[in-house]
Amino acid sequence: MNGWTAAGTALLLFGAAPAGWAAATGPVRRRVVAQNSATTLVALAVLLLAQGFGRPAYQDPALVLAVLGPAGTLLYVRLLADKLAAGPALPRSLRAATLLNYAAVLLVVGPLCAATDPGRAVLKLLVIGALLALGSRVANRAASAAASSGGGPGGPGGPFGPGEGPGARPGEGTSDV
Amino acid sequence: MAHPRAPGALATAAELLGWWAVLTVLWIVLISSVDTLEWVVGVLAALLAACAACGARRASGGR
Repeated sequence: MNGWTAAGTALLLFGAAPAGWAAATGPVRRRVVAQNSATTLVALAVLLLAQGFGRPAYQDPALVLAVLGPAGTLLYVRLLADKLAAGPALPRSLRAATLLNYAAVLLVVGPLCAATDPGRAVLKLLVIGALLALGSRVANRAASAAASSGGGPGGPGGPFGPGEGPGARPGEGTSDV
Repeated sequence: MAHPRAPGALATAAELLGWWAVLTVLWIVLISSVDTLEWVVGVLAALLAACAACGARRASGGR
């Protein structure tokens, strides 16, 4: 075990595992945010482990996760839009999860870039880091918008206004599914 | 990316070309070894993905 694998294991144990627990229990609005944090942290742990084992090819799951994780969170935000809209707006602590994700990405990708020979490998790491940060921002903004859109009476009722969602048909204002 | 007043076809072509260039570079950055075959595959795959990206952007209302 070297420093990279130790850091990766620590990130899994003290970052991804609590985030996974938070995604599995509690109110919906926290679970959506925690799910996004969990995918970000798992991707970072995979990057650290790939460096620790000296197998650059192991970075590819992190790349895939960086793309699919936020997409999955957006899907859950869409599916749970009415539940998110029914509850109160996202508290400040949940909105700060984005900042935590940014910090984690910087703390992991920075040292990895420093330890990698300059070239395409560093560019790949930067692309993965940028995708993770952007994905976290997009997913948390969507969750926050969904939670605050229907908080009061007469709210639009979700991230997609009436007739605006991907599944909405013209002339169909609200869905009663 | 394109000027809003540009003719539609020209704007679409410019957008497609932009996506194509960016996605080809992304392919080349993300693979492990660069050779001629990878360039050919990457350029073709990036063209496909560029068409999809243009379609997706149009479907989302150009946001």
